[in-house]
Amino acid sequence: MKIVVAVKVVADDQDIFVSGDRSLDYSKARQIISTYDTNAIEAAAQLAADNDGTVVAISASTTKADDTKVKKDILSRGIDELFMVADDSLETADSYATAQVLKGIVDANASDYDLILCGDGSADLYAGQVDVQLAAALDVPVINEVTGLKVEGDKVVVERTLEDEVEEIEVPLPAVISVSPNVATPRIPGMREILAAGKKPSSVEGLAGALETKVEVEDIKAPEMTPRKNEIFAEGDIDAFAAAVAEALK
Amino acid sequence: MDFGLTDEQELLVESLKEYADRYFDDESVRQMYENHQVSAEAQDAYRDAGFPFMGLPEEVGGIPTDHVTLGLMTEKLYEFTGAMTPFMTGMLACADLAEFGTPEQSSVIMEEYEKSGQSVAALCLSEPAAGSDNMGMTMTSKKQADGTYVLNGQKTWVTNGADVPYLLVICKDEDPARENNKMSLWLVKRDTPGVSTAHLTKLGQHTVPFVDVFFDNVVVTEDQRVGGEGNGWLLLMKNFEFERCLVVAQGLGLAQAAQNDAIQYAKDRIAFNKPIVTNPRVQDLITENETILQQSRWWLYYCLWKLDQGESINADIAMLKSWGTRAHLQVADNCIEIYGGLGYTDEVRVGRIWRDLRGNMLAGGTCEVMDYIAGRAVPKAYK
Amino acid sequence: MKALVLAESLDGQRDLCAGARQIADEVVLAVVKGAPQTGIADKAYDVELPEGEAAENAVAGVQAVYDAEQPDVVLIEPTPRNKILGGMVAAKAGASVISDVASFDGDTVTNMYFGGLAEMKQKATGAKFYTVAATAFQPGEATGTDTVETIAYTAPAKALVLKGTKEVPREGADLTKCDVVIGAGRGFAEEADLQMARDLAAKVGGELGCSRPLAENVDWMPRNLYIGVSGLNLAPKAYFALGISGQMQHMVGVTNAETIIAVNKDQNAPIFKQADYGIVGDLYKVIPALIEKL
Repeated sequence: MKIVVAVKVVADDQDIFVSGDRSLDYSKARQIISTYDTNAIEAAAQLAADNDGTVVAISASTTKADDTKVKKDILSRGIDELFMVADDSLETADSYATAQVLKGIVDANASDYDLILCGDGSADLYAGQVDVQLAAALDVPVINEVTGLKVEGDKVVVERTLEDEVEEIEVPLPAVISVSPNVATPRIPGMREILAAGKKPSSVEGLAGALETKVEVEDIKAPEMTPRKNEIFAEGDIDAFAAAVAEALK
Repeated sequence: MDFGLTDEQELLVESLKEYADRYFDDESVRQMYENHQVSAEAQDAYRDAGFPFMGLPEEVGGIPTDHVTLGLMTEKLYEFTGAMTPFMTGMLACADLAEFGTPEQSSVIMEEYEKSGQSVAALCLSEPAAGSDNMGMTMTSKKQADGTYVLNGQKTWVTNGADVPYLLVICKDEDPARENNKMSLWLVKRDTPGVSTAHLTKLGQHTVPFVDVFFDNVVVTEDQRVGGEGNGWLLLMKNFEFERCLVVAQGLGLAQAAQNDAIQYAKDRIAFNKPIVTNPRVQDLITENETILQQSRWWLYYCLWKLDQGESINADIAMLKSWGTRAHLQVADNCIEIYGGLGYTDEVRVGRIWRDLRGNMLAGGTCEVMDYIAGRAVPKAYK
Repeated sequence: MKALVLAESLDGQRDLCAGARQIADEVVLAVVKGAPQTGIADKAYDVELPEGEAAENAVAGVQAVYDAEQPDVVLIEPTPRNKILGGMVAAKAGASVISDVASFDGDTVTNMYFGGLAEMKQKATGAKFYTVAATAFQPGEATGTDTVETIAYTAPAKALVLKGTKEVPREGADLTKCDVVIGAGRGFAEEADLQMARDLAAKVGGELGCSRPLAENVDWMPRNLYIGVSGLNLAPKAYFALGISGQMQHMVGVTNAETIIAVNKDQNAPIFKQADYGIVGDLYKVIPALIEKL
């Protein structure tokens, strides 16, 4: 069985700071695997292991993602090979544009795939649309919010968890499936896996042609904070605090 | 001079942090100290991540790892968990057997180790009348007419002695006299008739309890001797240097955890209308701590690097262990001071770390013995 | 300007149709699972879905509505099913869906970046597809006619097969309807201590929600009560943040609250810069005292 998992490499938002003019300062931010993609990677690795399959990771990220440590991180999580396209125009690329690039990687390196897994949404844009766009581009079915998967011949039966109901859906392969974080807890890569990662194949290419963006980003700024009264009381002033709260609740 | 970590070392540190975050939150650590053992889930997860096999040779299913990385692993594990754990000691026992034992002896241990990833063999060295004065040990092995040997004596401060399936015991060949310097190492199953243990209550380090072990006419056979006859002490000594490095690494990690807590507290705690971190006296405590942490850290990695070059660090590690373990206790003491009255309670963990660190001063040889070793060795290094 | 609303829930249909009125002259509604409400759009489409079919299989029907109506903008209720249905139509139109639009300024829309760390202003260069919640619009009335057209079901070539469904009883109240919401955070040491927060909620006529750690890390509260990025987006009259530090990922869920009231023992917690009224103190002392004095 051949499984593909889409992985986005992003800046660690814990290290992104807001400058005086409300623009974002990424200078101290290291590159990491987008959080929910680690769950998708784990689900893909477990599925491959359970079904005697192979699993490759594909990624459309910025040139900063071509970082030996983050690539080894991906490869230390049960992934056999990594195919990356790195271009800075991908930083805020919309889902249509990203999906075309991912389709290109799949066509060139894994066209005989059975299943493509995606995470719930990337840490930066959290659009949750790349799965749909990729499925449309590849002309295959797609389902999201999947919390459990089982391969049954040429289909995958999934547990799909919505707010009020849980569905059991049979998905014909090949298909794209977007998994929720609870689908699998990411493994803790041990030293064996970390050492082996450095020896696994991985390739990084540039964009072959211009990015087909469908959305223009005009501005990115930290939000203006809604002006708040900021009346802060000390623990001893509980009476005054309670009075202010009572007034606000009227 | 490149002081940076490799990608692999950085990824290892991230995995250790993830491991500690999942299994060593405050409440879980409290329970572990109360139960006198690391939780089963934490043990299993440690094994599943392959950590117990680092530092063991490939022939026994290990992951050969350089000393610097093993030191890094120990330091970070202790910093991120803020707790004493039996893992590194467990690995060292297996390493000793892999190095000095026969393939049969080693595989017996490794079979157990692979299953659990937990400590499987405890070293029995000190005796009630022979701590620093190792030659004063009086436990003996005596050859019998039928070719077997009988062990008699008492060992003490045997870490995890009541919990492990095997004991690695060193005792005198035939004659308990001080002048007899022939000692052998024996691999004894703890459930052998004649072996019994008695509880000892430590002041700290409750997750790694130690016990008295009694040997009353315990029968062993030649194939249980580890290494050549009479060579036991020489074999054990070979790994003292690295073991001392790990004692320092453990203390460094715990002291760093205490510093992390204390600085966070100092930033949050308001006194006289200001966070106490702005108070010069508090800054002095913090800076004294930081000086100790950085000094001991870089000296430790220098020692580990030297081991990786195949060089002896006899004097270096003696000095580092003597000074460093005392200095780490000082760090924890300063952290209690920063917390004030709160630091003297169980509400925060710096007090527990302080108790743990006091034990480190004594582990792997007392400071006085370390000073003795260094005192004789340092002048020799000068022409 | 014509807006096509693709919605699922009753509230979603009403709120998005009302919102659509604020940016478009003509409002058309399409609903896949169940019949659309009437009187809230100029025209409504009932996209047929046979019993037992997966909703996502009705994409051809939604496409038919889109093709027939040729809307200038498509507003999609951000349910998982609609993200696929609407997303497929967008893909076919060579467009991207801009997700979780928080506000409109002509063709420029604003949504969040890195979970609320920043705001992005974007413009679709082609067809406009947005997922959007009620909070993006001013409160308003949805108006319309009774006209409903049915679109027959066409199965897709590679259909999903729905084998079964299980209802999951919704735990907790619908916080989007509450005037007063109490948020509980990591300041609560034990699950049992949440009772204090519930008591306060009862006293002020509010309901209890939480920050992400309580719903995901310690599992004290169900996920549907988590307030913040990829959770609930609320605009209550008053929001109490109890033992919540004030990280962006949570606060983006309540920035539209009229009044924010915070209790936290850490004077430097970011929550205090985002609160109208706050008290620096021990939750365990403040909450009982507050209940007594209110």
